[in-house]
Amino acid sequence: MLMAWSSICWLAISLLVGAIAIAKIHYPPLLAGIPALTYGRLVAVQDSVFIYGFASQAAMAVALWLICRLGATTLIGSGVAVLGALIWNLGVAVGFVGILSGNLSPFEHFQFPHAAMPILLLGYCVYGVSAILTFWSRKECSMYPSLWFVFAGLIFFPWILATAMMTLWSPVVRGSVAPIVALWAGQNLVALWLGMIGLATIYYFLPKLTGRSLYSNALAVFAFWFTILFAQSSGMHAQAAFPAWIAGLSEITTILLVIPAAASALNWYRTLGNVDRTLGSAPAYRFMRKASNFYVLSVVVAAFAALRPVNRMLEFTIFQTGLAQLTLLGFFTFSMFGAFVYILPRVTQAEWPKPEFSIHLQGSTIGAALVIGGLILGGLVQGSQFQSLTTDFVKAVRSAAIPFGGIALFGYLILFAAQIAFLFNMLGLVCCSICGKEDVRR
Amino acid sequence: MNIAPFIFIGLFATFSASWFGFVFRSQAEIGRETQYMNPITGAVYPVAREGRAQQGTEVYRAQGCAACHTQQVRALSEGNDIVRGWGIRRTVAADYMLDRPALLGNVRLGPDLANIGLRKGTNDVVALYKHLINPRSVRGGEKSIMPLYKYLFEKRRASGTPGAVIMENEPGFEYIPSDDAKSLVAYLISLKSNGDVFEAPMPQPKAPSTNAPAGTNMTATATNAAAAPTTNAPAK
Amino acid sequence: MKTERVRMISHGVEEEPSVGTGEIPVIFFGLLAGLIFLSILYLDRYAGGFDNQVYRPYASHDILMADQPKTLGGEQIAKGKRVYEATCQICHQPNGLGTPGQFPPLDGSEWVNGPITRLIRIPVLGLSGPIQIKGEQWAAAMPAMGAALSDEDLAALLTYIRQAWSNKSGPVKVDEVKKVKGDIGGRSDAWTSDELLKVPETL
Repeated sequence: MLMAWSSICWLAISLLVGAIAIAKIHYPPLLAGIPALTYGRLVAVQDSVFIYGFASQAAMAVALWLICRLGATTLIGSGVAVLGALIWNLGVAVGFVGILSGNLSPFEHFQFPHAAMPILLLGYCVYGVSAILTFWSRKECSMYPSLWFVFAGLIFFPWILATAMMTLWSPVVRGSVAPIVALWAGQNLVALWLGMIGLATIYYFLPKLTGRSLYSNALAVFAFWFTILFAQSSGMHAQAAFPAWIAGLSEITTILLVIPAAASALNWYRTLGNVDRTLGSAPAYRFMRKASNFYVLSVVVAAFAALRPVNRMLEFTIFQTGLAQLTLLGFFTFSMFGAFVYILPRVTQAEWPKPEFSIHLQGSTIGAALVIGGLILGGLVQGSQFQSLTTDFVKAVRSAAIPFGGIALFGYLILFAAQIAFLFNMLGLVCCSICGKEDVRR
Repeated sequence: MNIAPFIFIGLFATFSASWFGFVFRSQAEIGRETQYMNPITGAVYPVAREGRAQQGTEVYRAQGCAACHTQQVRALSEGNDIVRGWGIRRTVAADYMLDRPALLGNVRLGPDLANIGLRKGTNDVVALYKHLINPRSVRGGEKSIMPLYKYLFEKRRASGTPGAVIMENEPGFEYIPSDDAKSLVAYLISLKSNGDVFEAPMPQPKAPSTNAPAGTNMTATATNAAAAPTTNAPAK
Repeated sequence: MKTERVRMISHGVEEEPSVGTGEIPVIFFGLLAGLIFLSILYLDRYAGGFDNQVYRPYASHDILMADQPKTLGGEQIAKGKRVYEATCQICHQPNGLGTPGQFPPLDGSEWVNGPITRLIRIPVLGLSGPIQIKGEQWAAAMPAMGAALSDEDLAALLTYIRQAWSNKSGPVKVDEVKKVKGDIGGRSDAWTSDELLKVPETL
């Protein structure tokens, strides 16, 4: 519960910061006198707080839930998990302050200052103790597919984080190696940690919420192993200072990733079949459906962008940001929202004050679509302008950043409002459970 | 049957293969590279930045300049960076060997800065200061989206202090550059990626190299090579 | 919808999803195999042999090696020419043909275009005694004109004369000059033709 609450708080902060950052592009003199609010730092805060404050914490919370449920056991060491979450939040706060005061690192997804990283790793390890103990004591011996994905994500995350910690801030590792490791770690962080937990969530909730069984075990096995195999070297082709093999391998694995993604999608859609109309309006289910659609979309768009002529045009544009947001803000966030909507009432033994989630659902969908659409279209415009040598650089960037950045700005503001609504809903939930109100309908 | 141990082994095997390939091997091979010495001219590259410019790396990092500016030049066959005048050859990992941290950047909301030191020299220090104070005051940049870095300067009533910068639209005031501003500009002027490296020999191939060895026509390449390293990239 | 959720909440133990036994459509395997095959072809051309020194657009280390500079850039030729004008031109003439009967030619000379192990030694210590150059007999009395030159200057000079006029030989590198000077050691006598011919052709 703590994790869910704090993760959504951080999400809200991240979205607000993102909105401010884009606003500063539209009008650079806005808040120009405050060094802590310069654009570079705001972008770093937005990305870092999203990944570590919201996404990782949400993933950790949902992973614990899945282990408990699928292992048919109760959570062991809940105090330990809470301690881990507190340490984690401390790390994120330290990082937040650190970046704003200028102590940021230039590697995407690893922009927290060096001081924050050990705190995060410690928090995760403490949490991991609880996760391992719970997993160990599971009574259900056979592992449902979601549990494989959870297992994978939980193992990979500390590995990636430790690697990044030891290389990116190390005095021994040269500047020629650090960007390669940062790129690998950053892509793997999204695909093999957040992506894994996101997939686990969808694999669990889609059958669960519709009361059916997952269509095919064999497809799930296929999807699991090939997703891991291909995702770990994908997404690294949009850079220009690395040996040829990195770009080549990344291009083909990004395209190959379509196949296991199609397997996952087939599994999900065959599971759903014809869904009962009333069930189809349950918010958790709708979030999950959107998340699965975002996932397929993100893989397909990424594969398209990996083709060499397309990559040549879209490298170094805001398209890449949009693509990252498609995975992060679209697929992962929606799967977490759906999970929270379902899990939190069960954890607090209470009812949502506003069970329809209309503001949150609609707002998040519209907001996410605006942000992602704005950035991707803006990137296409920017890329096509860059192809021409006669276009003035400032004009080219402006033609993309102003109109499409503006769309994304609206998106961020709408998303922010939706999260505030969600937070109020959660606040109501916690109050209900503290006050010990009984479920009226029992 | 408990398949958890098998899954664990499978995960460990695939991920450690990836880890070895990307992290370990990169550190073992690229990380151990020494500076490149051109066997004919004896020139060594890259060279470490001297004091002020090295401090400027920290300022560049702390201001988050890498959020909008890249420092990577693409090969001729991969993009039109070189044709735009942003460099004479593509950048390779060795270019960042002595940079701590390497500030590559991901997005170009501003021009690439890998070779800004070739386009701006010590004569352009004041112009760079003005650009930092208000990017929109520079000719051609009236619609720039770059943030203002006024806080790197101290604003005072104009009093003829040497080294102060006077902006055209504020004639009664002067801006004294702080240490951070001076370091940042020294860093920018030091940014050059035109030294010879093994991985990107000059002249740069326009198209993907075919299997025919390139050194067959020696006098012709001599004249081409004569043109390439000595000209400065056209001013942007 | 509300009754549905109530039912799920009031269950003591909820049903967890199970897995079915659907099959993997064969087309997935077909697609996978096909795409992997195409990927291998693609990697063959675009992955640079997985070599950490090969960057795009080079396809392999061999092609990269072939593209390495064998001739000098303009600066180096200019430098070698300046050294030649200051040090050697007096005798060997600007056109490299020397003066018949007095100073031997460099243009087309087998000593200039031959092994650099022998060429480097000549300006460092000078020549004395009979020597055959381009089919003619000469009585050499060349002082050590290059003794005072730095390694870089000497390399530039020798590269220049090996590529000037009608000469089309490869460059002389700084580390090759250093190595030969090391091999010479403390010797101070001028070379004779016989001694030079006994010097091995490779470093």
